[in-house]
Amino acid sequence: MNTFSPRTFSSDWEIAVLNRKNVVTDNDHLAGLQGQLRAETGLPVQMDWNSIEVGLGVNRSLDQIWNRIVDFTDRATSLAAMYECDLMPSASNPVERYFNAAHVHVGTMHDESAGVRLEAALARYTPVFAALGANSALWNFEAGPWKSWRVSKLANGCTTPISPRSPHTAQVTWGGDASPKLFGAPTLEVRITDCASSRRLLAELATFTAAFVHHLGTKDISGDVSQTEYMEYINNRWLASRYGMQATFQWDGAPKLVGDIVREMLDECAEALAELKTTVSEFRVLNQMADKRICQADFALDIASRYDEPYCLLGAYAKRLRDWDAFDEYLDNAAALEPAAALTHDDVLRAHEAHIGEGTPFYASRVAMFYPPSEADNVLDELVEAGRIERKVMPDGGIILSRTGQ
Amino acid sequence: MNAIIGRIERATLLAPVPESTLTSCVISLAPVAVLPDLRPLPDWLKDQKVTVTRTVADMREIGGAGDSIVLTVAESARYLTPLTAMPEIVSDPNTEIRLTLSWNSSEKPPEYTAKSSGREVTGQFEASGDILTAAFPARSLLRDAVTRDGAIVVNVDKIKLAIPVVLSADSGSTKLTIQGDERHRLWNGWYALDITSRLGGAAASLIEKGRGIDHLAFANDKIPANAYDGFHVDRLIGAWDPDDRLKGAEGKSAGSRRTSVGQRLVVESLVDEGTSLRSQVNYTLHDALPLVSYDREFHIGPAKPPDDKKPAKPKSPVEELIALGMGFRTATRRDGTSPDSRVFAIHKGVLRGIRPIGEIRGYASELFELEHGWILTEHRARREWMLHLCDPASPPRLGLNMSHYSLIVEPYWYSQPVKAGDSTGFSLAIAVGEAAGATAHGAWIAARRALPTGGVAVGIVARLRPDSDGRAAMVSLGGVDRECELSERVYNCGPVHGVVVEFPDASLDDELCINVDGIEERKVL
Repeated sequence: MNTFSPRTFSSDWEIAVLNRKNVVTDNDHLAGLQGQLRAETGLPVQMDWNSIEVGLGVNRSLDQIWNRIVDFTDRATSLAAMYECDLMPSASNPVERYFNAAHVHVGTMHDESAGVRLEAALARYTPVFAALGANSALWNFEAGPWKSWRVSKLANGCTTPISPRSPHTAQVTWGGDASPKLFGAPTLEVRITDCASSRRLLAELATFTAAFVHHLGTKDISGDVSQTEYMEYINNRWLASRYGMQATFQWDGAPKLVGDIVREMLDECAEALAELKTTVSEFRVLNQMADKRICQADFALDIASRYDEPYCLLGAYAKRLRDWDAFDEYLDNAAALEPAAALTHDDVLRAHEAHIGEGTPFYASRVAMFYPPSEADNVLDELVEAGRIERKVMPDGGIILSRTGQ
Repeated sequence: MNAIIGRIERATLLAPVPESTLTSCVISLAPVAVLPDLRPLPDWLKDQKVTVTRTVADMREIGGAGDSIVLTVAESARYLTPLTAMPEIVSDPNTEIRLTLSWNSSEKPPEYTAKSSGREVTGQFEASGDILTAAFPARSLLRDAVTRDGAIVVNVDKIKLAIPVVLSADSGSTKLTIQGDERHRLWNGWYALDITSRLGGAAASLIEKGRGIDHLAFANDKIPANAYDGFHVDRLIGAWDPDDRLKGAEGKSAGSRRTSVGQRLVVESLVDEGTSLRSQVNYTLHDALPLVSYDREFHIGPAKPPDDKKPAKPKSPVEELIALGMGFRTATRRDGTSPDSRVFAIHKGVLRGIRPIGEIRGYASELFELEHGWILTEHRARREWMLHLCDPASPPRLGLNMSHYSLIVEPYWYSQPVKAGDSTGFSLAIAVGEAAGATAHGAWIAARRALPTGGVAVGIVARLRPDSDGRAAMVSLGGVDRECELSERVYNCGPVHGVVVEFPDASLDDELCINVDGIEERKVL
């Protein structure tokens, strides 16, 4: 079985362009840069909201995508500089609310039914890609506690948890963490990954993601997901966005460091990596991230520790990002971080409680961990029974929640 | 809370900071604009160079020549407010005015010129440590017989400072310039209200004089997230995209006068030249109660006459329709404690306490009409309350947001269909104070003021249910209990219930306890 043939991959990399007033350049002006880059590079350079979105072409190897990334960024940097702008490759901005991504497209796939089954099977692994990609700790005047505000906020609706589908009843979807995208290029798209700041990490992560999906595509997959498996996915998704590479996932019912899972996945897809003309040892950034439990968000938070004022932080952060390899340098020199503790049931209760103020519409608590309705309602019931929140039905039938003792 | 963004001309490393991995550096820069909204520089900073010294871990975070750099609020202060005076307001003609200059463009101490009442004095600044100082007697400018409230205007090169002169009783108005921002200040014994000419004539400061607290003050050491933060503003609400036309409207004319109700100020602005949309706001600072009220009007100019040379396409009546949504926005500094700041309002006859986690919009706000037209904002840790009173006949919908710095109350009215030549608007009143209460029966707020003859007055402003007969209040100050009755006044914002109780022997520090018609005072943490 081989769902993907020929084996190809790419990334849609969304990059903001910052002018010397520290303002993100809007689409009206970006269109000029986009058109020029598209004409010069031959790559499908597009625009997303106030960002350039470069499609990195159809790739068949790590070296190929790496060289494309370097060539593109070198040219884009010099073009932006002509207009006194810097490219700002980050998934978030310390004083703005937008999010940027680096989606990975895995090709070539023509069997949409197989893609729907793969989507369900991939749910388990997307939090691993999210942890590796976590790069949006500085967002909207906040510095942490999330390593990926983007994933925690569903990228403003642009990367949502997977709802496993059956090929017999499936309709087209667009913004899931991963899903087949045959209406565009015939690929399966992994959307959960934040925009990468490091060129090398982007090349390695895109190649690894593709190889692992290629590998899964050789398996006989039913597409069935049990409730236990689904809850592990949802909890791990939350853990990845909160702790990045420090996360301790729930994995087959036991706690497991995300770095260990990365290494196992790399080993598991060794044959698929070979098809993409690479080996595990070539992933120098990914291997270090797994060893040291560090992600790009940790680099951003390190800078944030020196700048209390978000506008000053934006300037310092953007100037470091334009070096492209700043994270790689940080990773080389940083000491390993301690793993975060495994998720407890009280963590789940507290996460939901934190989204309840006073008179909070009950549905607002759903964003805490994006639990499915039955599980989310169980959590609320437990908080009510423990006396930690009050639930009131209003005269118009609406339900409001309030924390008690306040 | 404003700060400079500039362009680096040179960044020079100095010595390493002892016992740390940090290094100090000197950055020379040309100021470019003022954050948060990239406003133009004040005149005195145009074409100037300034320097700051910082400690950094990595010079790449600073950058080099041509890069931008943002100064902190503290680093910017000496450039944005280089000239200050003590006292800030002259209330005694025999006072000496001491000027402090923290920055000027020339190497040697400059001259100053001070003018008022047709008189002028000049003098030289002298060095005093890192700053320059000068002093002159106010009497050299003020004439006993003819001087009324006004201002002493001090000029130092392009730097200008207007020092308000307030010799009359305890109410009046004057013009001010704060960080280059032209403002009108209205004041009485209860409040001092600053109205900026920017943002269509927004309230920039509302000081409760009894405690000296500015209820609109933003965190002093932070650049706001939004140009609206630190202001009470009115807004146009777009049908789909944001409508920031009022945000960019500069007050074109303004003037104040006394009325029998209090001090009144009118600001007019052109909001949109294309549709001839104009706006007028008239504020009244009430003498009788601790209350500010205003009417915001929007006037759409007449339709343009048809151009005979260019035949117009036929228009459907709906194409003549202009949808105008309106609202207001008050961002007040959140407590940031547990429990945090919150609001109270009535919904479906029930008192709702709401402490948002993020924004309350969409479905949750669409159905939430502010019944009886009031919303009470509570910062209990700081003992600061704010009561907004709208017309109960057409109350707005709830809009609420808890941002990183602020609790933002931003109610809105649905869009109205208007056409060329029409006018629309809304009316609002605001009271701030040190005590408040709220139940389904209504809400009240109280402030106190020093009486000119000694003692203290306590003013209560309330909005009680229209079907309520009770208007009794119990006020206790310094152990003296007083029973009183609230009277009803009807303004454009609807009925306002209020009373002022005087305590001739009390002081501003005495303990205050109030109960209005069974609505108990909110407990202070």
